[in-house]
Order: sequence, then structure tokens, then C-alpha cells
Amino acid sequence: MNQSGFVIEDQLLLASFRQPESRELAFTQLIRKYQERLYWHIRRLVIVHEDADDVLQNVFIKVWKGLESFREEANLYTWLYKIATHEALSWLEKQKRRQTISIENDESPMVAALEAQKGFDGNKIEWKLQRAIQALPEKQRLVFTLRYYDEMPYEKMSEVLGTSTGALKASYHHAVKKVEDFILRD
Amino acid sequence: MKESTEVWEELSAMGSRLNVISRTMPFDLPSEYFNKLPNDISLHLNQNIGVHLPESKLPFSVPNQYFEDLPKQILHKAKQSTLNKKISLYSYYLNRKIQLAAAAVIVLMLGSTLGISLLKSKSFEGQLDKIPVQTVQDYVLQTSPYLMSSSNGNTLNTLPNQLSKTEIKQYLDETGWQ
Repeated sequence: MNQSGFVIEDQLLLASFRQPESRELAFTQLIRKYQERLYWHIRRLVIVHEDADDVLQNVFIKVWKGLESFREEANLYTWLYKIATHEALSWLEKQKRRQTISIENDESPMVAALEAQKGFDGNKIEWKLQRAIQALPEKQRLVFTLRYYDEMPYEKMSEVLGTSTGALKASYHHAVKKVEDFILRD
Repeated sequence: MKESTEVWEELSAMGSRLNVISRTMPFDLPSEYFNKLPNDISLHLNQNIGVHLPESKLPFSVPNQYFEDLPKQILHKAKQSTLNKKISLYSYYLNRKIQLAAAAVIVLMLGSTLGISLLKSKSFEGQLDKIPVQTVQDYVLQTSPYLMSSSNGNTLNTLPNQLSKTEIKQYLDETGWQ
């Protein structure tokens, strides 16, 4: 059974988490509810499954540690995305430092990772799209994936990325044009 | 992945053709990854913080492909049920017809039996009336051991008045008068 299919209200989950006797169970349910969305968000950024898995596990460890002090005025969904985005970007930053290569100026390590993926076919449109996304600057890549794949409203994206909705709309617009140009050119 | 109208409309408004591309991620994923992930995180938490997460799965199992096949099975059963209902209705009407036919046959049989016995009875009465009293007396005298042993000669003259026609018929039937 696909456990993530269960719809459990976040407030109920949080209330359950605050009870010592149901804390662990509530956390397991929280993982099952959000694991797929967060995984794909991370995977689109780091490309390799093993890396995405490491980052996702770290995200949930941080969530466990921070959930106690989490205030409900913030949205749990955006808070989780915020942590996941931060962790994924930190991981990319570490990779950059390790390789002393700027991803914005030279996307080759990520492109190499993409091309090494099982079933990669540069002639297929879905892989061309991934290749085009990797060619975007980091911020635009984030905005594009959050909007195009996660269908995140600009208001929530603004909470996650700390950028105004106007700037996000402009960023998404530029990203869409660049992706399209890349696909048509390639 | 479902297609969000808002995102699609936004792309259309931009004049983009990205909405014709499938948004399904082409990346490979280990099988059962999401089912195993909570346990992996539990292990991680246990090693780092000493927390053990319980298994949130229900203790029941379902056969492989159960939910994928369920709609097809329900549809099949629904169709079967409609068919059974039709058959059941047909059987009901068929049984009803058989019952009515059986009732009609019983009525006919009863009617004919009654009719025959009535006719038979009428026939006996008619035949009996046609037999002269003397003949009956002679026959009775010849065949009845009781009367033969009787010394009372008046008994024979009073016999038709004392015995009913039914009794006479029964007697004659038993002794084979025809």
C-alpha cells in the first residue's frame, strides 16, 4: 500500500508529534506524507539518486530536531521545502568547493551526472528538458523546478526562497524562455 | 503527474510550448525506495540521536497489484450482478409460468377426475335403474352367502329398502357383477 496516499492534516501531525507517546509515529507519518515530493525536489537539483537519498535523510534528521520548536504560523509544507532546498544547495556548494568548479559557470559535473543516468538518451525530449534545466543559473533552476514540477504557488515559493513574488515570476519567465531555446537549439 | 491548469495556462500565456512535453521524470529509482525510506531514516535517527521510529504500516498485507486490479474486478462484478439480476428475473417469470401451468394441470386433472367419477356414478345409477328388481334379487340370492344361509324369506323383499345404492354398488363391485 502506498502509505503516502494517506491524507493526514499537518496540524494533526504536529499535535500528535507534541505528544510524547505518539511522537515517533507522527514523525513516521510525516515522512511518508512528504518523502516523494521532497525527494524529487532534491533529485532534480543533485541528479544522482544516492546523493538525493543522503540529502533527503539529512533533511528529515533536521526536521526531527527542529519540529519541536516549529511554530504553526509558518506552513509545514513550505518549512519542509525550505529545509530541503537549503540542504540540496549546501550539498551542491560542497561539491563545488570540492571540485573547485563553479556550477553557474560550468555545469559539466551535473551534466556528466545527468548523462550517466540509467536510460539516458540525449535525443529524447524528456532528457533534453533535463539537460536544459541543468543549463540554467542556480536560482532560475530552483524557480523553474518548483513552479513547473511542484506547481508551487508564487506566494509559497516566496516563503521558501525569500524572494518577492514579482521577482520569482520574472525569473520563471526567463527560465521558461531559456529552456525552450535550449531544446529548439539542441 | 497531473497537469495543473494554472501552470499550463501560465505557459500558454507566455506563448511557451513546454506544456506539450511530459513532466514525468525520466530518472531511475530503486524499487520500493519510498516504502523503505522511513526505516532507513529510523536507522539513521537511531544511530545519531537514539530515536527509534515505529513502523507506521498497517499490519495487513494486500496481494500484488491489488489496487491496480481492483477497479477492473469491481466493474466485472457489477456487470455480472446485472446479468444475474436479469437471469433471476427471467427465472422468476419462468417459475411463475410453470407454477401457473402446474396449477392449471391440477385443476384440469381434478376436474376430469371428478367429471369421470360423476359420469361413472351417473352411469351406474342409470344402469342400476334399468336392471329389474327381480334380476337383482336373483343375483343376490345366487351370490350372497349371508342371504343364502338366511331362513327368513321376507328379508329379500325388504333388502332394497334397507341397503343404500352405494352399499349395493360397493357389494357388486367387490363381487364382480359386471
